[in-house]
Amino acid sequence: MFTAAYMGYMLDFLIRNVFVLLIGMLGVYVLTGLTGMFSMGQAAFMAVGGYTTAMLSKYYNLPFYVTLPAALIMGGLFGLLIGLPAVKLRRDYVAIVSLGFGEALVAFLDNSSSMTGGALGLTAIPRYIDNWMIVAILIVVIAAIWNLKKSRFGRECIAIKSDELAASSMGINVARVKLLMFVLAGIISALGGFVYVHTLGYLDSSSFGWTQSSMWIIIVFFGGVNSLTGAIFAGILLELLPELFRFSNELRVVIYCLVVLFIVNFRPQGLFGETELDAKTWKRIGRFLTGRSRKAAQRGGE
Amino acid sequence: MGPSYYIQLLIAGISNGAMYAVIAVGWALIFSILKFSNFAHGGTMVCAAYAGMFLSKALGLNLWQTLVLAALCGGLINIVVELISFHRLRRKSKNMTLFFVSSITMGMLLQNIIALKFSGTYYAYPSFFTQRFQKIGNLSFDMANLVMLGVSAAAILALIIVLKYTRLGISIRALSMDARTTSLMGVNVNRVVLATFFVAGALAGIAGVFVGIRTSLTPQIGSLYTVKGFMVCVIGGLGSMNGALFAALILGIVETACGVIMGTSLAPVGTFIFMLVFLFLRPQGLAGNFATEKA
Repeated sequence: MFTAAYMGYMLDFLIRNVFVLLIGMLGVYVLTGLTGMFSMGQAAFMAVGGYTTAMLSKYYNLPFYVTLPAALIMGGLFGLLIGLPAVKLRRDYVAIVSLGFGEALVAFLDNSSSMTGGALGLTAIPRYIDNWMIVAILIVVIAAIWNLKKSRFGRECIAIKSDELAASSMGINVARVKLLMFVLAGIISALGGFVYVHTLGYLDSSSFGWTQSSMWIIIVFFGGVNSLTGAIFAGILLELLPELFRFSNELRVVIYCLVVLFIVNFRPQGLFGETELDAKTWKRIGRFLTGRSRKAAQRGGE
Repeated sequence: MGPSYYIQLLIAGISNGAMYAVIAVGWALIFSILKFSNFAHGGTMVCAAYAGMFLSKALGLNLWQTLVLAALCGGLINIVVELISFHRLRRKSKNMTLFFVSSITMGMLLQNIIALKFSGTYYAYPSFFTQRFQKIGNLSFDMANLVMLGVSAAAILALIIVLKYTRLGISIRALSMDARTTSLMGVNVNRVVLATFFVAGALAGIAGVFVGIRTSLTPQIGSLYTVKGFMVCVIGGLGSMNGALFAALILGIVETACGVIMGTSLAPVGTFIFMLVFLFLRPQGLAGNFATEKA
């Protein structure tokens, strides 16, 4: 089973499928994990980025330095469009607005087949992203979100997530932060769509529906609602395991759901909780593994 | 294309809306007592629809017997849903997010169990009607639509009577106002919550049978009607029964109209735009006042 060819295949799968979807999922992380809003149509933003890229490069033969900004701008614009009504409304209304947007977009893509290829999708799109570029893009996005989380703006988001009223009484402009977050999440997911298209060379609307979006929410939640590394860990784990065991897609979802129900009931803060897997945590794990308590470490240091 | 054509469309829209009303009223019922949106509603509906279909085929039942059995199945499934995904949460946690995640997960679980078992083949209900269309004057109506309209109206009427005049209904209404006071008055809150879930599930089962009669059964109708039910409840004002009723009729008519103008497959785009505009103008929904969120 663990031949070199198999390991190579799994590595390829990890990068080309899991990492690409992970970029899109990070859009959900900044919305749900940081700001506490549920976007149930986030995969549609990935479709926006993907279709923008695909149509521009297929019909107009535009190079990536034109299609990439175009995809990101479209993602941001749609984020703005959905964010504007959403920030005015209660939290579960955000879910319905984004949900309706996602379903409407998929219906639209399926039906304007002269442009988007309908349910068959678009094929033969130039594939000029290799594995290294995917890894590089993913690292850049993660680093950006990591810094965002540590910044003033990120802390404002976390404050809004815990208590909107308290946040606004501390002088945070809640509507503005939420709207900016929607735009940012749209851009990140659209970037995921751009990478997706140029990696696989084809796309169809079926992979951007409601199920994908709620799967992302489940993954973020599974990893720990406030933990970026937790979300990434959960994303890799939950996308890779089914491939390892060769589950059918339905069985995969069933197993996910059972795991999540278990977590909701017995570990409601998620796998990692608030903890980030940063240098500090690694040190703590190291101490734990070598059996030295903190006090012993301090005494040793004296 | 005379006036009769439009009357037929209107009737079709209203009966479409009546089905949404049955879904949405169950949804509003649960929202009003627990103050969260139960996204597992569509999952319950699709499970009950499949159960009803297999039972009616196996036992050779007629429409009415099928409806009763499907409602029963829906109620029982919803009780299981409550026990698994909300029972522990209701006692332990006050976090809205957890209810949200839990209900979505449960809905996906139910839908995918069905998909795991039955996604390979298409199933349809046996044809219950000997004649498919009924002619009145120069108007012709789809029998399924007419029966659906009647049954939905009857189900909602029955629900209203239960809520207004029975002991259970009074406890449900009390619970929707204040859970603690209700329990101090000697009402067994757990039992009332379970009963509410049963009633909502039974309504979902009835809706599921009609969805199955009008189209063929696929697992995906679960998430499709979850979306519709939620849309109706949001337009109506979350937790408001009357709002949900009117919103369901409006959405049914709007959707039928969009289907005629833009084509059935593009109708979701039309209804989405309608919802967006509506929420922009009146974010609190038809009923007017926001239901208080669970703290």
